Order: sequence, then structure tokens, then C-alpha cells
Amino acid sequence: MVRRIDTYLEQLLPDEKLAFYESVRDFADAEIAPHLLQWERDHRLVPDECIQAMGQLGLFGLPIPEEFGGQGGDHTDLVLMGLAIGYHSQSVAITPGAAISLGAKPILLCGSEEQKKEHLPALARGERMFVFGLSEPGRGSDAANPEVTAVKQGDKWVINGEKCWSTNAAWASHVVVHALTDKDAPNGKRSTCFIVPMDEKGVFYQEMQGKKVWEQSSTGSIMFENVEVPHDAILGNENEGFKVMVTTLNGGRLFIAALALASLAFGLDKCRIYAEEREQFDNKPIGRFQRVQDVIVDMDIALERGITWLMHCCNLYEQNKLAREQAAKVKVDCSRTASELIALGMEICGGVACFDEFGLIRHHNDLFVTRVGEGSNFVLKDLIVRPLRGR
Amino acid sequence: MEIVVCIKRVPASDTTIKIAADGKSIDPAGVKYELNPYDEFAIEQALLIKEQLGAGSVTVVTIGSKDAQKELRDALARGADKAALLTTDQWISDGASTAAALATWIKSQSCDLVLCGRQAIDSDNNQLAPNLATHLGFACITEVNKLELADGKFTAERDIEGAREVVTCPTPAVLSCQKGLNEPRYPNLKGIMAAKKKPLEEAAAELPAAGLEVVSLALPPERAAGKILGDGADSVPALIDALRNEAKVL
Ligand SMILES: Cc1cc2nc3c(=O)[nH]c(=O)nc-3n(C[C@H](O)[C@H](O)[C@H](O)COP(=O)(O)OP(=O)(O)OC[C@H]3O[C@@H](n4cnc5c(N)ncnc54)[C@H](O)[C@@H]3O)c2cc1C
Repeated sequence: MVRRIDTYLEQLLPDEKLAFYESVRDFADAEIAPHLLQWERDHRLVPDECIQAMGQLGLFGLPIPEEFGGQGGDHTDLVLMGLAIGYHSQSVAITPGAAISLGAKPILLCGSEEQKKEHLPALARGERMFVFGLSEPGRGSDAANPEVTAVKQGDKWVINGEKCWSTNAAWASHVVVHALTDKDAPNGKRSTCFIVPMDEKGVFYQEMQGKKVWEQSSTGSIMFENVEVPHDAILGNENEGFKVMVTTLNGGRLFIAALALASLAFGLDKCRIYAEEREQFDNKPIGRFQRVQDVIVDMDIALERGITWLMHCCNLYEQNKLAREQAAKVKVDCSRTASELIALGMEICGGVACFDEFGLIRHHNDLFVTRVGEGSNFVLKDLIVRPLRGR
Repeated sequence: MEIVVCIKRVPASDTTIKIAADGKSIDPAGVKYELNPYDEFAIEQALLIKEQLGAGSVTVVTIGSKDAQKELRDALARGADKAALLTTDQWISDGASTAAALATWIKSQSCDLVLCGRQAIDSDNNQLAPNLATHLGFACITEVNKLELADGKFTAERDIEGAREVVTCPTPAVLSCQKGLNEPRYPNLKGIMAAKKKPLEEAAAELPAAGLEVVSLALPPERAAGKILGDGADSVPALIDALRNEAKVL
């Protein structure tokens, strides 16, 4: 069976980009898809061997320049990886996905030459992973005003507080902590980012328990108790921490849109095949009922539209022309449309869709994260509305 | 060591095959193509040998249409150094013609070792390796599933009926590769970008007149429906009887 998404990507991508997508797709088909159900039933995070295999394929170093040991690719390559792996599992895809778009990207975009030299080669090999420490128990959407604080003491900074929702925390070597450093400054200029090793004295990590989405992805809470770091641990400039976070998130949102479309692509193929196989009334396929076709057709329209739009946004991103609201829009629309349609897709398949083996319930649950993560859709609408209200 | 790997673009194993109107070829419409799976072992082995020796080159060659550039680029992305496309628009069904045309081209190259898959999964001829070895005057080992190279000599293992055979041969040689020989790598992004810049030469395939002609093609008959002989332990005698007297497998 030719995947519907492949048909669209063949039309949209130049040869090398398509070859890369196909290579990751074949890798995911052979090395990830056959094991997923077992990992789920065992409640396992992505196994180490799988992380190593993704590392060998260079997935952790996609947009890192070759001079730093990376693959020398661009953000589109990252998005293609999200589409190829996310087709089977968003939680496996987000592992290298977040390691790059939230982990390596801040260093690439805002790091000093020394920080790049020190971290990027190991990040590119997947031997080191950075966590994006923005969200806190009391600071989700209101992220510009962290409760975590960093206080200057002589030539050191002392960090206290708690970060949560930290993707990849289980494997992290470092966390980029977004901390309040000047509470009286204007909004957006109150915070600074620090690179903190996870094994530093006073850093404690715990996996967040009971999460029923992205089940193979690690989501941790990280405590900081009088953690001391030197001044050169600052990423970007002092009191410009929010800028680091916001710059990073723009690209990250395209990756979340890719995950949503990958789940939609899986759902579409699953539903259209099942609709031809399942027979009801006169032993004929349910795919002959127009109301069943309606859902499948809507999934197909949403997929072609979303992929075309996402590739357009990737092109703008590569040219440094992607506005924040554009990244937000594609993320909002793809996540919302895909999660609404996957529920309808499950409905046309019937009871079988309740079972893990069928695969749709995994995507249904994971799609919820795409609505909330990297900026909740409702909050992002605040961003999208801005250019609409000016004159 | 100068290594040539012979590869082929074949219809993907999960493609539904339809027979063309002429009744003796397949209908290419809607067919998905891929690199012949056994050739992946050949490419990987060539790369492993080059890495082991830290010297030499790997050249991939195929006979086919322009579309086969895709499979050659795939091999270049995995790490082969150069590629050659011997073009033809014919669908070659005669294994001897393929071998002759490849041998003509290989003779124009410097070559110590030829690797290929044990068979192409489209025509399933299993003829290339021995035919090539005859043309080239090289040693030949088929269906290799373990290979070592020491002091310029190959030691190969192959499964034969009920046993495992260990054979050795010197270079130059032709080896055909079986599943299990190695774990083929996936092309990575850096390799795919580098492949764009690697040489891919094209020349017309020098195919001799075919000695063999496909007269007709037919799809296998539909499988008959299964038979339920009964339920539980009571049905075992009927099952044994059917296996013995109808299926004749006991
Ligand atoms: C699986 C997972 C992984 C994550 N990984 C990371 C990570 O690696 N690093 C990290 O820093 N964070 C991470 N996050 C956190 C994520 O970014 C936050 O969940 C998100 O920013 C929303 O914050 P919140 O959940 O605290 O919701 P809240 O801020 O409490 O908001 C709740 C809801 O209220 C509404 N709302 C709030 N404010 C407004 C407003 N101004 N206008 C309109 N509506 C509003 C929205 O509907 C919103 O969904 C992750 C989250 C999940 C679920």
C-alpha cells in the first residue's frame, strides 16, 4: 500500500529531501513499528537500543552543522523526521524531536562559540541531551514570569525552584533553566536562561507518573535546591531569557504540527483500508456507505492541505521569514483538525478502534498533546489575533 | 580492493502485480519499486570490506531504465563511491543476457570482487553470480551468509540442505549474498546530500540477442477455502486421515 502522505510528499519535496524521508520511514517501519505495542503494554519509555539506533542514523544531529559533527541539514529535515516516525508513534518521534527543536536549537540559535563547541558534537551523536526548562507547576501559559529564581552571588548564580513537563528528562545531561533574574524589569525582560548539568549538586529529577499520552516519551519534574552555576552558564544574554525561549519555540511548533499530521496520515490509511475490509449488511464493505466515505474524504483533504501548508511554512522558516503567528496558526489548525478527525475515524471503524493493537487510540491520545504542548491552542490565538487588530 | 556491486530495481514485495495486455509482461501502472532486498546485503558487505581494509572503492552498477538512478543514489547515500547505469528500455527476462552485459562493463573496470544479491525478487532467476564468474574467469560462491576476509582470501559460510558449508576462495571472486550476512545500514542525511555530488555515469547496456523468451505469464490460482473437519479432540482422527490421504504430508 502506498501511504497517502507519501503521495503528497513526492509532489512537494525535492529528491534528496524525499530520499531522507523514505530512509527514516523505512527505519521506523522496521525498527520501531514492530515493537511499539509491547513497549506500550510494558509501560516502557523508548528503550536505549532504539535511542542508540536513532543516534546512529544521525537523527539527533539533523540541523546541526557538519563542523559540529551534525548532519548539516535544516529544519525541514527535522519536520520530515517527525512525519516519518510520528506515523507510528509521536512519543518516539518527540524524543529526537525535542532533543533537537527544544534541546540543541537554543544552543544553535543563542549559544556562544564555546558553548556550541562544548555541547553540539555530543548532542549531534545523541550522547548528550538537553531539556527545555520553561514550564513550571505554577507557570504554564504565563511562562514569561518564572517562579524559579536565579540570584547572583559573587561570580556565581544560585538557582532555586521547580520545572515540570520536561520532555526527555530521563535521558538528559543538561537542562536549560529559564529563571527570574530581575523581577522589576518590564515583562519579557525579567528572566535569564542557564545551562545546568543534570548531575550538578542540588538538581533532582523525577519522572511524572500517570501520564496517558506520549507514553514512551520521558516527562520529568526537575527540582533545584541552591544549585550553583558560573556566569558563563548563561545562554544568550542576561535578562533576555524569554527571547531565547520564544526564538526556540517558533521552530518547535512546526514540529508539533508535523506530529499531528503524522497521526492523521496513519489514521487515514488505517480507516480507508479497514473500510474496504470490514463487511456489514449483505457482506459488502462499509466503505460503500457515504457517511463512512465522508470521514475518510475529510481526513484526506485535511492531510493534503496540512502537508502543503506545513512545507510552505518550512520554506519560510529556512529563509528566516516565518512570522510567529504563522508557526502558531499551522500548529493550531493541524492539531485541532487532526484530533477532531481521528475521533471520527475511530467512530467509522467501530469497537475495534478501542483496542491498542488497532493503533488509533494511541494517536487519538497523543493528538491531545499537540493541542496543548508548545503553547496551548487557545493561548496561541492571542498571538494570531495581534496582526488582525492593528489598522 | 576494487569492489563492484550489481544491484537491481524491482517491484516492491508488497505490490499487487497485474499482468499486462500482452499476457507476458507485468503492467507497470501503479507498481511501487524498490532496491532488490538481497542487494542491500551486497552493498553493506562491500562497505564493510572497504571499511575493514581502509582502502579501495565501491562501485554500484545496474542495467535498467533512467528510473533506476534512484536505487543507485540510494547505494551512493549509504557510502558507495561511484555508480554506473547501463541503460535499456527492454524488460530483460534472460539472465544470461544480463550477465553478459554486466561482464562486458566490469571487464572495462579494475575489479577484484563482484558482489550481488542471491537473486532478484522479480524474476527469481538465481543466475547472475555463476554466469558472471564464468564470463570473468573469477571464483564464485553463492548464497553467502557469513564472510571473512583475511590475507587476501575469503572464507564464506553457506547453508546447504541440512548442513552449513564453509568454503574459501582467493580474489578475484564473485559472491552472491544471502539474508543474515549483515545488517544493512539506512542512508543518513549526510550520506544522501553527499550522494548528489558523487559520479553516476550512464552508458547504453551492451545486451546480446536474448536466447530466451517469456511466452506467457499467469497469476497463481486463488487459494481454495479452508476446511473445518470438526471440533475438539474427536476431530483428530479425521484430521490425521486428511493429512495422510488428501494432503499426503504424513
Ligand atoms: C507531554 C507534554 C510535554 C511537555 N514538554 C515540555 C517541555 O519539554 N518543556 C516545557 O517547558 N514545557 C513542556 N510542556 C508544557 C506545555 O508547554 C504546557 O503544558 C503548555 O504551555 C500549557 O501550560 P499549562 O499546561 O500549565 O496550562 P495553563 O497555562 O494552566 O492553561 C490551561 C488552559 O487555560 C487556557 N488559557 C490559559 N491562558 C490563557 C489565555 N491567555 N488566553 C486564553 N486561554 C488561556 C488554555 O485553554 C490552556 O490550555 C509539555 C506538556 C506536555 C503535556
